[in-house]
Amino acid sequence: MLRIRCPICGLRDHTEFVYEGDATVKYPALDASEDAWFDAVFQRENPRGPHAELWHHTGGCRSLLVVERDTLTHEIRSVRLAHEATAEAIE
Amino acid sequence: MVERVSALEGHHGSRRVGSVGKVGAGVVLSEQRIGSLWQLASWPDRLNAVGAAAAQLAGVEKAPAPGRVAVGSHGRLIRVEALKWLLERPEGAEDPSLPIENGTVLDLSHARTLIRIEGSAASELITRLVAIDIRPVEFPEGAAAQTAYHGVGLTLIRRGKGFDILVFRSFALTLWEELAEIGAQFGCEIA
Amino acid sequence: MTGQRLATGGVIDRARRISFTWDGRRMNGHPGDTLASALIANGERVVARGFKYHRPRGVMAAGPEEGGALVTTGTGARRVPNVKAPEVELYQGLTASGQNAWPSVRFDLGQVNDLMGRFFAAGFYYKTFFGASGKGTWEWMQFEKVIRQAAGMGAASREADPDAYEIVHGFCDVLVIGSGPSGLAAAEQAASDGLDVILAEQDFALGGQLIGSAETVEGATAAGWLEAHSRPLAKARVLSRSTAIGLYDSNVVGLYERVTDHMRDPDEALPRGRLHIIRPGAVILATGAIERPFAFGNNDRPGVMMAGAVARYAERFGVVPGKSAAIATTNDSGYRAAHALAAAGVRTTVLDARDRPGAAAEEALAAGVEVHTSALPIEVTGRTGMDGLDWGTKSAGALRSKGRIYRDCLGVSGGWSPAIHLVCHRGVKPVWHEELQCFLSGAPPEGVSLTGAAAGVFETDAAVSHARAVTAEAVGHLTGRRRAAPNLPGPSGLGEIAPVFEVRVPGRKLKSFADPQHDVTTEDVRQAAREGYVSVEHMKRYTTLGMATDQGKTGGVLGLAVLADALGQTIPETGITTFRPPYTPTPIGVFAGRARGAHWRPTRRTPMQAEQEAAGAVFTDAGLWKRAWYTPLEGETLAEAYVREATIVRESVGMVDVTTLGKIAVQGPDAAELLNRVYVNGFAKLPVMKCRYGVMLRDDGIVYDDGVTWRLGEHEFLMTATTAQAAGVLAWLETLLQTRWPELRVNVASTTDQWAGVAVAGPRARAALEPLVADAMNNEALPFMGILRSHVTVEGGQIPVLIARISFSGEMAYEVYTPSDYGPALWRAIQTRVAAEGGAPYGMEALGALRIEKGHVTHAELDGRVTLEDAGLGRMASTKKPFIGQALRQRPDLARSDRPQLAHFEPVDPDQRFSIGAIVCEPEHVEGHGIGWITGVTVAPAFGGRWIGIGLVNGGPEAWEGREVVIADPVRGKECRARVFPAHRYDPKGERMHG
Repeated sequence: MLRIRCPICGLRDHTEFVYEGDATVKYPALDASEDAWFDAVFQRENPRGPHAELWHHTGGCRSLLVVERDTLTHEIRSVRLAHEATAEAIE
Repeated sequence: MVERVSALEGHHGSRRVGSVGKVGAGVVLSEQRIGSLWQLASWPDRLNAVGAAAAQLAGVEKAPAPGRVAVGSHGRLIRVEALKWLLERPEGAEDPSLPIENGTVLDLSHARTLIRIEGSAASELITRLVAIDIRPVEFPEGAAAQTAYHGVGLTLIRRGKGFDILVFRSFALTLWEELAEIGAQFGCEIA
Repeated sequence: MTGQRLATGGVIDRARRISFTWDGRRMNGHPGDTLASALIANGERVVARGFKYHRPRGVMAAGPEEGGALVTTGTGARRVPNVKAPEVELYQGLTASGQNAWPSVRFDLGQVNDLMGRFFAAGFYYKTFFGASGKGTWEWMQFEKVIRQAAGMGAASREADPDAYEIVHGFCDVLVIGSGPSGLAAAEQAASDGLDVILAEQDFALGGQLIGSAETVEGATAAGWLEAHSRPLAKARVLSRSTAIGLYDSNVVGLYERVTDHMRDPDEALPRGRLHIIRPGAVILATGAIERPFAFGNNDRPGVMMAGAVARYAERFGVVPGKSAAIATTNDSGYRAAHALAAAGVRTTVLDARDRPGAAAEEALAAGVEVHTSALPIEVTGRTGMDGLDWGTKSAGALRSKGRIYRDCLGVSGGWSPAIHLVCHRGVKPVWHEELQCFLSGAPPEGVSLTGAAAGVFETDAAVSHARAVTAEAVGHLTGRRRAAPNLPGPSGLGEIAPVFEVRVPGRKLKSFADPQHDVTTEDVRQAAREGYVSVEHMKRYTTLGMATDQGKTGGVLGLAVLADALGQTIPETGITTFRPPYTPTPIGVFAGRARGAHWRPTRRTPMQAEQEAAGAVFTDAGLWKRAWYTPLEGETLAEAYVREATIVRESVGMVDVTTLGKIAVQGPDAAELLNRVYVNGFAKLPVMKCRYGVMLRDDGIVYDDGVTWRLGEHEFLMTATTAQAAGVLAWLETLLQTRWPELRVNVASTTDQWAGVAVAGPRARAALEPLVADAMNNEALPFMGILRSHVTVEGGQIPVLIARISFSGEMAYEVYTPSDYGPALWRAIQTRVAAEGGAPYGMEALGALRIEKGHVTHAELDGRVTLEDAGLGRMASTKKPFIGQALRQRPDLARSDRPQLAHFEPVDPDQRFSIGAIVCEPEHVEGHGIGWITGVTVAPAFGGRWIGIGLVNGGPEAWEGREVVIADPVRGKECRARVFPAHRYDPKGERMHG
């Protein structure tokens, strides 16, 4: 059981969250080319070690979180709100 | 006036389940009818303004931080999301509003059911429900947590000698039945 | 001779008697006994049969490492096989029996297997039957049945588990696992530092090896020390009968608590077991150590036990397993049993494998125990139980036989294996300690500490001070109050240990077991090595050594030592197999907890369920929701009812509960912009109080969901999503707003539970509703896709409503929503009016019929493979604005014109029918995957009561205009010729719903 420290809710079981994939993917503009969209939707790294991931706290505050997790040790190094303006407002 | 019908209609009533005879009623379940329940949502850069408006509507000095409840003269404010408050007030309270530059309001008065859990084993019951650290140091009076039981979202609040649970109306009866089933071992009284 | 109860001693309540049933016979024991101690006291030696060779087995250990006394407890639905007798707490009325035997463990016909041992050697199944020698799967399946019958472990009940279980979520500062001296000391230390402590113990009593022990601890008697150091635990939470079964990421611990297994008439409200999921700040593993056997001939005979178990039975339970005993040991710990037996007046001979045993042997001699040095057991004699022992002495590397001694029990100690299973669950690799001849834990993860024997600190006083020091350090780490690190006692305390794993005599054939629980002999291990299974993990799987419920407790180190020897390498070079959770067998029901029966998943109910139940509706599951399926008149079948209901909608008026539709509030200055981006069609210009059907795609261009969105204000929309997708759509919108488009000011929230909804459909729909509604509902006031905010008159007054003129059936139709608590009143009011117009409620089945007639898609068609064009919705895609999925929907394969596309099907012969899931084929090629599939079928009142279907076919209706297809149903052996039509065949101009 991973425990994730949500900036809004505190430390919670990972079962409250939904994994939403690689947080480093930058999605292109809606009218961008098929190639640009193909890369964004289908091309993924599979890193061994630290990885920035999106987790959606659907069982809690419903925030999208950027979780820096080591894929080898499962160690979580940092958690922050994905929405930067909200993160600033909360501080 | 048309009477509001609870999701638990027909399932209240002075009933006792489980080991009440042997151990007494360790758990007392009751429904607290919700009058008015509105969501106040702020844009990130208007949090202070919306917080002030929310505080005024509830009659509290300051709108609560995430994970907290504030009780005021007009009602209470519950905060379990980053930019939102739930404003609970009695039936008949005037609909709140916010300028669209600051945020939005949403009526949820019929969308939730409020279940009250009291008794000496209330905490024991909660540990069988949700994975929230409810030790008093971590979860004191006025603490609130949004979490899930069996995949169903619920809001847990510590109030007085017990807990309030806000649950989606459509799931209220299933949760009510499960609370009674779990509570049976402590002796469960259903008000 | 057999075991017996001593006249005195033991921590049992001799004043009270417990009667229990063993193999159909009544026996007695005392409170404080386990089934194993009571069986020994009653002189039962053979209590089980080995699962392959059916050799007789007795009690071998005193804990979960038991490899011999695997029994079956309970009867009927509560029958539990493979229970370890030392773990069963005795209670009045307990019923237990031996297993793997017919007719009984004392006389078992299956014992013939022992004579055919070569057939059951390592890898026998695979080599003999599995695919090899031209034998195929069929042969394997036949043989496998016979083998499973002859060589299986106990039989589980085939009835449903009648017991309840529950999951309990726990939190604490320090979790101490194990309540022996080091565990108690650790818990006491943490509690006295003011921390919140949970102490878990698998036994029903606290104290571990100190229970009944004659040793002194920190100058006090064991009993005195136990009492003094249990007292401070009043502040801690103590969970006895609770086994830590796993240690997981974030140091989360799973504990299985046996709640009622030891009770005769448990309170029915109590669960049988609880799974405690504990999230501690720090974990202290004081799990002790498990004694390791070494192998010699017939080392599985009843009477052969672990030396520590012999001591435990004598000290704690006041029973001895024989009238005369031998102890075969490689270290000092075996002498504890010798002293206990000597004190009980049992003639005892120690065979010490060491040349110079030292002080321990001196003390034993002084106590009247016979001690032989450099001595080893060779082979046990006796058929159903030990009656003698052939032994010998080593000199100059050779083992010289010293003949036979007649003893009926033997305690064996080959050393100790610290119970490091839990820390290994975290991926920590064990490290071999040469001096202690055991594996210790590698560096544990942060927040986990090992202490006492689990850390290799075997001597009690040292273990206690080690525990205090380790706990103080853990507490300091938790609280930030660091103290100077004390000097920790190092691993030690067994004296010199002779590295003995197996006794072999050249020329003498011995049957020596490495893992009695799985009937794996040392010869099996050597055979595995000869056949190339040289990795310890491969050897384990090939031989089954240390697998399943054993998890390497007994067989692990011994087996790998034999493998190392066979391969001519060291133990560390050979390595050890991986320990996996659960540490001990755990009832699978506890992992489901309360999620079973009616609550196997949560149930969602609409506010109008009671009204529909009262009307006689039959319900079906729609996701988590209960929805009315059909409402039969007296004597009506489902087929009759739904056709009647659908006909009523076409001819007069019907009503249906649509509360379950997912509803999402979309609010804010950028709400219209958000909708414009997620829907393929435009929403920016949708007028206030109008609604529009929209379709959204996934990023990859495939259809995700559809629904009608209402514009209630400039900045206020109400989106509806299909019942099944509502949660997913909300999460998707949140993801977009928080990650991709953080600049948009939009609030999204579920309002599904806020609104109760009734759809009223049919030519008389308006007539039915008009008298109830406070405002005008004519075509001008409420046109097709218009919205009206009004009030409806119900019993007792008026209720607020939102009415939208939306049609799913193709008829004139309205969806009426009111706040949920008014739902029952709304339903009753509308029902009265609908009945007055000659209508009736309709359910899911009729709803399906109507939509198939009309050609509306649902998730039967939108199955995650379908594009807009496939669904016949291609014209909806805006060319004026970009939207999600726009780029990738243009991929060549998704744009092909011969893809399966939506169509309407009718049988050529009106008497024929076809089913959902049937395959659409070209008439000349009825084979393979065909060219399409059927997603819905119905009797169609709108088509004269004919059978029709909806589905997809390559190229769509255009490609098949005027041609027949064959709808094949190979599973049911049916074929049906059918014609293909455009999906929107019923009222294609929409005159009825606009009317």
